[in-house]
Amino acid sequence: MILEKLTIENFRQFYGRQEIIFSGYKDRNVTVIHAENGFGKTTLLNAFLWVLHGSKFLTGDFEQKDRLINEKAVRDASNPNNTFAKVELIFTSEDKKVMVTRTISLAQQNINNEGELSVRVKNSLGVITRPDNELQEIRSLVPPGIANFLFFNGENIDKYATEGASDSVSAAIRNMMGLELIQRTIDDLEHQNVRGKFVKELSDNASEEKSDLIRQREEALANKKSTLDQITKAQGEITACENEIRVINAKLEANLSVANMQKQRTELESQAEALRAKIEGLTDSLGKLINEDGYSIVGGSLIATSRQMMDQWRKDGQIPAQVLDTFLKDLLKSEKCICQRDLKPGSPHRHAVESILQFAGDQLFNTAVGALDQSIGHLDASSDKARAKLKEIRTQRAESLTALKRTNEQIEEIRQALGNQNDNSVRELEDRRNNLNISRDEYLVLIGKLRERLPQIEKIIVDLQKEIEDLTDDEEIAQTAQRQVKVIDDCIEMLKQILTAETAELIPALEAEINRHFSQSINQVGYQAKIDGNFRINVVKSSGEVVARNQALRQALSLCFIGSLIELSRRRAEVPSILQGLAGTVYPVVMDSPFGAMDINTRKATARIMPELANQVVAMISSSQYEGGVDEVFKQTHKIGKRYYLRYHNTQFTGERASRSMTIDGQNLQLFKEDTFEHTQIIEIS
Amino acid sequence: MPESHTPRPNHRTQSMQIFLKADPIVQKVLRECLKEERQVMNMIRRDSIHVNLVNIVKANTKAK
Repeated sequence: MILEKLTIENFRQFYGRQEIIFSGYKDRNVTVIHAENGFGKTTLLNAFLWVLHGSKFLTGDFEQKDRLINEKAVRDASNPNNTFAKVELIFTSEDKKVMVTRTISLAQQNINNEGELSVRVKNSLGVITRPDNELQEIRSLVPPGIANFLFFNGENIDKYATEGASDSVSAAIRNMMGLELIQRTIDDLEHQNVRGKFVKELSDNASEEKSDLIRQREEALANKKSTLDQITKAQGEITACENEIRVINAKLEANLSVANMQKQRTELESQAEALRAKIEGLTDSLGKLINEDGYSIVGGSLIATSRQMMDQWRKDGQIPAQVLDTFLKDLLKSEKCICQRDLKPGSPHRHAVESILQFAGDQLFNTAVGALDQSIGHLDASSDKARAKLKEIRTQRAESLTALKRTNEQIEEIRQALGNQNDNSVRELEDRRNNLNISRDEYLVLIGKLRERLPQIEKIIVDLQKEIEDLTDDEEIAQTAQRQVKVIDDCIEMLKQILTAETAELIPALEAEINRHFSQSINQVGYQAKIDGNFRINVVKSSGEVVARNQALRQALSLCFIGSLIELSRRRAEVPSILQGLAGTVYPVVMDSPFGAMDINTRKATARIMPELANQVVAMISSSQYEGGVDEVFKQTHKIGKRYYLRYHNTQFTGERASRSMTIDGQNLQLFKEDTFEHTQIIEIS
Repeated sequence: MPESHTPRPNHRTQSMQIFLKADPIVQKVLRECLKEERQVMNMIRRDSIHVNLVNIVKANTKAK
């Protein structure tokens, strides 16, 4: 999506027809609109949102949402049906040009503030058409779920880096990265009206035996789904508990009388978690050791006995064979001993040689003895090594368990101390925290039990599936239905695998992208952004410690997050995708007051990365945020392709306002102008 | 712009590899289903999607 032009007519303080043409240059991709507070930045931002998605998406700070038409236009109105406000947005999307217009008449405004939507699309051949469903067309080009990530007020976006934002952050990620599309497809394919329909058809036309198997399989599948749903629900409850515990922790830390105790507890709980992870790792190592070398540990006595037997046989001269039987057999065959005596059959010398044969052995036997010796030696050494390793793991595990026990005791002491405080509010918080911990543990146990069930259910499903496939149907209808069910099941299974793969690839990619922007915008060495499995964005030091986020940091983080999403979406659009619909889209970003509460250094750093946030950036900036640093950065980077400023007109100004101006590229621009009525003018700076 | 973790144009992502391993009919059905879903993804009402998906499966699995 590349913005071309915004035209507003009698929209709020903008009287008459006024327009902004956006910079479409790749290298100078920033359009700056200079505007003081109260001149109409918020109105312009909301013009985008209103034209695309109507009144439901107007921002919270856009006051008097039911009065969209310019007041002078309303005052001068002779015919309410001919008095209107209009916003038109022209943009290109892939190979088509889209013109979206929303108009609201005075008569309509008195009813609601939706207005009438009109969409026209011009294709690559220049043919202009009206989509069958105009609303659908816009919603598919600019999904409502991401509109607030593309058109936003910089002073409010810090919310995306707060604890409670993970749902909206997760939704934006899923929407822009195509994950939502995959999930919807899975849900629809699994629906009773799709898969259920084909299963019924199969069941109705198959043999009685097969129908019964199908019924059992469907029951097992429903059981599996129910179990997975319960696990997901329980995980949600655990997250809710943990979120609330975090809030309680913060409140306790803010209470001076118990702050130190709470901080100590937080530290101890971190240690306990690390110890639990260590113990789990050691248990895994123990299992692996027994799996791989358990035989050498358990067989220790057997190895010792074998060695004793070998030693005894060696002592008795039985091994290795002292005389090779091949040698003796050759002598007997030749009927002549090495001492030259005859060894004729029946002779006493032959009898003597034949009696030695029982003690003789062949080369293979001696080789085997050697190999056995070697194996016993190797087993002995392995056994010693495995035993030593076993001892080491058990010692470490025992130490960790002792440390964990001690840590848990300390945590319990603090819990008791906090619970016995005189301060009611502290006691209540501690009680609530305790209850939440108990609930969380209950849900963890539940999840464990549910997960234990899954392998058995899955085996039942697999076995039933095989039985169903092995039973061939005579009826063609049944054969076709079976094929159809198989195709749907294969599609669902594949989509689930794709969703897992995409999600697994996404978080590190997004994190890397955020950090690429973040490292440039935040002047703190060693600070990194991290996204956890619940899509919470945190800032951590190189030690791993989470940094407390002030508003400026949250704003910078949120800006980097939005820019990263847009960038990832753009790059995905360049990857040829076999799965149409997974490929991303190019989006612009339109920001009112992008610098929010940032200090001057962070503002300058953010101004440097601003052109990289999206292919096209529109920024509405006040003079107080622009002057004294950001202006120099923009001058150095040469990224501004178009510039406008908003001039405020009114009947009278007093004092400083009357002469207030700002200087842009040597041009002195008057910000206020006396006029016959109050309104705002959009003026291009050439 | 600097390289990111997003795959280069000729690189096959894991999801693409999963897709390519599937039966050709499954690939075709899935492509068509996703195309259908993409068109209605952001709609409030999606009445015909189930019927359309059923038709896609039927069209690609006709009796032999």
